[in-house]
Amino acid sequence: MDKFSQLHLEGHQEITRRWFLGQIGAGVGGMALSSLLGETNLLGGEPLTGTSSAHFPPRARRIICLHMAGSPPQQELFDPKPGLQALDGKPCPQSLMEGEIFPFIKGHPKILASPYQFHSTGTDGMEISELLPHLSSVSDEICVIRSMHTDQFNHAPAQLFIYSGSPRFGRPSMGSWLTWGLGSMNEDLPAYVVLVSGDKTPSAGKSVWGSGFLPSVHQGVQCRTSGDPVLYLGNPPGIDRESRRRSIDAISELDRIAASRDEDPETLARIQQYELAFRMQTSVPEAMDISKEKQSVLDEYGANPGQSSFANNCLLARRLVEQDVRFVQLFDWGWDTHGTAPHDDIITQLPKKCAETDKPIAALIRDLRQRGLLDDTIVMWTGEFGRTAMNEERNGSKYLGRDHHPHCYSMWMAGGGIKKGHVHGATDELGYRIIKDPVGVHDLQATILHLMGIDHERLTFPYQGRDFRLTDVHGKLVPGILA
Amino acid sequence: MLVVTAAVLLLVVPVDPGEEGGSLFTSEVRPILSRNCLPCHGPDAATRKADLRLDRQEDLLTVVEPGSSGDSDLFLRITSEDPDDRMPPPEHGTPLTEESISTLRRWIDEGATWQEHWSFRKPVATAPPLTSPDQHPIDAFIDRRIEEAGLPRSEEAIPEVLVRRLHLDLIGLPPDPQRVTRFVREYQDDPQSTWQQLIEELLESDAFGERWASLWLDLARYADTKGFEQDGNRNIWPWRDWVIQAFDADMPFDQFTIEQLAGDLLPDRSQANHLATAFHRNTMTNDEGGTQNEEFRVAAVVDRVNTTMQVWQGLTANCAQCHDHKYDPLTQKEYYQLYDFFNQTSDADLNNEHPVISVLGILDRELVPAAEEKVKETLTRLDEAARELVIPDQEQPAVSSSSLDVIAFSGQMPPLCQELVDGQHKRWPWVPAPEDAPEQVAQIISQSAPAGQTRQVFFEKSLHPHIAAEGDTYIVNARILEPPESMILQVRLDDATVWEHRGYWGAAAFSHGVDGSPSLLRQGDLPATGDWVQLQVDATSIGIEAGKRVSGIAMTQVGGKIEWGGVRRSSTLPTERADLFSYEAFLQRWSAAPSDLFDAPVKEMLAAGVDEGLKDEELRIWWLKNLSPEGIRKLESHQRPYDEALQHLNQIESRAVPVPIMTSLPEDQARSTFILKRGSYLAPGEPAEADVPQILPPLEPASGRDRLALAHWITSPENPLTTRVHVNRVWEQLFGTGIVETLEDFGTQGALPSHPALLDWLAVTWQQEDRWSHKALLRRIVTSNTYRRSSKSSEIQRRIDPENRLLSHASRIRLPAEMVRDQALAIGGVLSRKRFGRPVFPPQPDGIWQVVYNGAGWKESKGEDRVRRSLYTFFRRTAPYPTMLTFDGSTRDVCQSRRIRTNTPLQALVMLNDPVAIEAAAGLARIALTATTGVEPGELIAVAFERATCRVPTDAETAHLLELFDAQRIAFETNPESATSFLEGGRWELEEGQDPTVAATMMLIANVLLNLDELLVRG
Repeated sequence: MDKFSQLHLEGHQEITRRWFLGQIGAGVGGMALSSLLGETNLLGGEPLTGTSSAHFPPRARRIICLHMAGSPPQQELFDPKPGLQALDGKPCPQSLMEGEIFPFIKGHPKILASPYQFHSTGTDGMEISELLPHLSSVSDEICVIRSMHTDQFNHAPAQLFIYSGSPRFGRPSMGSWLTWGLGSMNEDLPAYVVLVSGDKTPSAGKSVWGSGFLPSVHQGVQCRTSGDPVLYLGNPPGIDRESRRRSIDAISELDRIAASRDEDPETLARIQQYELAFRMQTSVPEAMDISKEKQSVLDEYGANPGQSSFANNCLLARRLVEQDVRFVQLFDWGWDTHGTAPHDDIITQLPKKCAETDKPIAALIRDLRQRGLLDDTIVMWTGEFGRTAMNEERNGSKYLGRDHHPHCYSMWMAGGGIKKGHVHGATDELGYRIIKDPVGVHDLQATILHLMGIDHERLTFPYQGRDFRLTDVHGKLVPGILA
Repeated sequence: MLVVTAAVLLLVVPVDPGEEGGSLFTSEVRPILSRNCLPCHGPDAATRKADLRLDRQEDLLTVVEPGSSGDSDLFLRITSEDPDDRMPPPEHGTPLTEESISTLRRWIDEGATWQEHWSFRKPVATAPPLTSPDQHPIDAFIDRRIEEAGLPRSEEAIPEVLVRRLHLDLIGLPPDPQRVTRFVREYQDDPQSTWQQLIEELLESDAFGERWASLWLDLARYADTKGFEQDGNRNIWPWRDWVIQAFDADMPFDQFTIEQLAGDLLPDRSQANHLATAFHRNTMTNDEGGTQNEEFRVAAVVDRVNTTMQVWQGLTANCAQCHDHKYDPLTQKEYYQLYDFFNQTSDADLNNEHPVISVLGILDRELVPAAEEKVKETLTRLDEAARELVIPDQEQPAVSSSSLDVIAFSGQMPPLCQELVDGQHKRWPWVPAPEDAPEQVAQIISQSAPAGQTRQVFFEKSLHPHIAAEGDTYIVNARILEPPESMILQVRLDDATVWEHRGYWGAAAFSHGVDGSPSLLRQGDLPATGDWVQLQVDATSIGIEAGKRVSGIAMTQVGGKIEWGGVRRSSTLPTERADLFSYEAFLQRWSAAPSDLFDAPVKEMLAAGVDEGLKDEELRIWWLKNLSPEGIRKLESHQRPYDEALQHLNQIESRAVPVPIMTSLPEDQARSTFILKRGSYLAPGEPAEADVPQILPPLEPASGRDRLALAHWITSPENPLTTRVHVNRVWEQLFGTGIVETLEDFGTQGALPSHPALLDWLAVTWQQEDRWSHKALLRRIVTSNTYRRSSKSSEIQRRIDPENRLLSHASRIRLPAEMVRDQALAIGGVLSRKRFGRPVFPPQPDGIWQVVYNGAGWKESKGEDRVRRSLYTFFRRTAPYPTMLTFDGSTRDVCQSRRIRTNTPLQALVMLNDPVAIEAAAGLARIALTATTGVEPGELIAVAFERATCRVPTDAETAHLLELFDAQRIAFETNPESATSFLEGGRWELEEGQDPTVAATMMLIANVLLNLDELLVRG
């Protein structure tokens, strides 16, 4: 093989490796490679990774997103509003109705005070609901943002907005941007893993971890807790590991012959992919096997090997970031508490969901802290929008619940670079509008990218004549939540 | 070494300077201005600084003095030493390179020639630079550039490669081995005509349309669901079939365009024209609870504007939705002028997908003529038989106690009654009674109901309501097979609006009537299970008083399984039915006052007072067929085929589906269009009226301002973009890269064409000579020598032109997702070639479909539907078929012009382990075993290898496979259960005498072959 093809091939091998490894900014190899690749067309004409290095030293290297799909009510969990008590059951003030469109509320709704108590955590005026006792015990690690806002109040568009920066389909997700920009830190596992609990995928489907116009290698890989952890990972029945080894050897031998005949570096790249696939066949099941964890750890999370649960997913998230998976995204269904029936109200369903998730989340934070991972791992907990101060009473329902509300909601973050034990922002007496330090979805994204060492305005991808970015043309860093 | 290589890469300049005059501006100056200056000095008025535009000649000349850079403000500002003066300002991106500055200087000093952006100028065909009269024009353009670059050209590919290449490119399926052998043999004798012949054969193949439709489905963002949270199913597959047929029939691209954009507005539009407009109903519909329909209607209209501009103009209009385009001359106002064309349709994000038309699928449509013919034929025979049938007038037979008055018994129904099953108009499902049934039961209806649920057969509106008399009794013949909760006889009076007379046995489980009253009166316990019984109901006890007219009966059950043998009446007063036994009596009775129960033509004939001739005969035939018991009996052998034929036809027609289509609002409901500030539907600004962007040719002055006018404008010879964009798209399919690499962007930010003159020549000849024929365009390209080159390249070719933009050799192209799967199934001999129809559900792992609120499950298709071509796979937007995405398929959320090809371990896992791949491997191994007489491994391997790759393996290749064969055979011999389960996974049932160890070993060999790089690319 001539020198040029040799270099070309090395470029391919490097790219191949980076499907897992990333390594951007890790040394001369990466730098030289990116200059070599520059405008060339190895993978169909698009630059494979976005930046030749992080823009500045990162505060965090990994992220775990805990998404409570359906959107929990902030009034019950993180934003206590005694002001609602006096008006409970009374028609809401007219000012709450002006210029508003509600998805479900009809007529003039009544105020709904929270039936739950809040406990002061002793840190910075942070109060956390009695529904989340375990989280309260690690409140010194978290930063609650009470002043999140969005402009979407339907589930699918709002989820897309948070994870892709646009309420419409077609844009890359945050995890794709990050793995595209930063690469992976792991040779045997996907850089971007998605775990789903609650038996349902998110409203916006797989687009919330899609790669949009970025190369499809950057889409999230959904790891499953039943069946193959990654689709088609397992050999077909009757084929053991030795047989697979032998057959991949044969494929490689024949591909090498083809490569020397056609001199197409892509062929050699494919040989590498088959080797990686072979390695994944053991590395992924190992990473996904929580039965090897100590019983005390399983108990701490409330995890049960062999089942599918949010608790198991939290433990898996720890195992994955421990192995330097860059982006772990958890979706848990069941938080859409409208109050049309017990299965979606705030008296039966909400405590159930809190009980399912509170202990494992607290365990996750403690576990990460104990292993020294929390310093450079971001943990983020959120829904896709807030809920109304008013009782929805759809069709005269007697069950209590709240409608969708875009103007304010609460979320929290913890870990790498985040201010500990802090409350950011505030809402008015009825928890209806933000009165201090609003944080928009693009601001949140800009801040996450910043923590990962990326300037959100500079992580761009040219597509259809325009440089696209996660934060569109918006996004301001939120210094108030940074440590 | 790396540095040297990088420098070498820069030597390749994609644009041929010799092909375009003034090209320094096009190839270098405009890109510099566009990238560095236009963000602040471009078309976007909102962000424009100092009121200076550098994208238009007249504005540029205010800061440029042609011939003198020293007197040009532009040049002075970019070279100024004063940081405050120097452009671009440091906060706006990187400074200009020295090279860019000297380019600008040279351009100004040489006279500052200016040209409109290349793609906005109408293409002009220049004569191909032929070097010999018989040279192919494409080769003339391509070879000239290769020669100028001093590159050698690769040889022609070997015929084995050519035959596979052309098959995959034109029909998306590999050739079968016999076709390869024949082609290779004939090609050696007469390459030119053999090649031509293969081209024609493939262009006419019934696999052609499917391959090219795949491409169009990405552009149209086709899916079988509506998207968003609910992601409900959508019946739009008849449109997909329309596309396949259009490609098969080689519908000219201008017509193809007009029908899809505005088929509903064509004069004398056909249903097919209207169906075509479903193209733009592939937008998403949000059924999520609590959505604002207007918000998502606007989103759909926006998507239609973006998609139209993307598909036909290669422009990225979407930037201008929120503000003026930063780089291309498209203002926000112009965007909403385009929007106005699409803002006038009646769809409005409604859950029912309004408006829809009812469309019968192609497969069903093909069945209709034969079914109609059958109906006609059987009717003719029936009528002929009736015409020859003469039945003498008879007296109405007296009712004896042994042959009680028939109400609904043993297949005999009252004349003209409406027979219903569970409320649906259906013939009662009489079947011959079992042998152990009593004599009076000749036919039965067997009916089952799930626990707690009601099932019933009933009739209403009998022509002969019977008049109840004192002492009437209803007698029900029945046998219980599984005890119901309740069995009920219901009786309906002629003048009643509801059923209100019921007798029941067993529990009071029926949800109508008042228990204990005549509306629901218990008659006793359920009879014993398994015995035929006669159950009696006293008519008076359920409120049927003497003198009342009864015209409906129902046999009803809640739960259980019952054989119903019919209902009779025991009465002293028989029903007056002389009109059934005498045609004369019929005429007398009904001609004076025809009943509403008669069909209109019969009623008319009766009312007209038939007396003689044909009409009389027609009426008599009708009487024989419908009323006369003897006539009915004697004609039964002719009636039944007719009924069956009619039922068959109805069944076919009932399979029509409602397809969402475009329909314009009536003029008085036309919507006013406004510029939407920041693209928000809640922030309307200035009004905008339908028009096309200024930079492009205007609409015909006389044309309207509707979608049809827009479609005509797009397909007008004056439009500079349509033909170029499509020709380029086809070129990319055949060569791996477009002449314009950015298929999706022909604007100023897009790539420049590598061969501008060739692109224009193709565009113009396609329109003028080929008359927009897709097949003619393909024929033109694949007949060139350029297309037939080998993919082998020399070091110098790769060094000077690493991306192969000059096409001195063929590019190896990773197959698109559909072809990867289709090819494997075809090589395995298991691919179904059934075309068209509802989407199918091939095997996919459990748990992919976990859709919020939508209970839809993935019900795996059976039979050949499991192994159809990939474009028929059901496409759920929130959970697409996973292997399609793994191989870079579009997610169909929005229009996608180009798929980015990747190479990942997840693809390896699919090809190694997906049950579809395993089934294909089993198929290939089976073929090898069947094709050879013995089980000599070398022979088996040769057969499978040739079938997979279209060529004979080399010795080295065979050796590697033999090594695997031997090792694996020992492994399977040691562990025979493994062999068995591997075979089962491939759904392979061995034939007599086949050795499971050899079969399984061969299957793994086949699995290896299907994973070869050579298979995954088009060489």
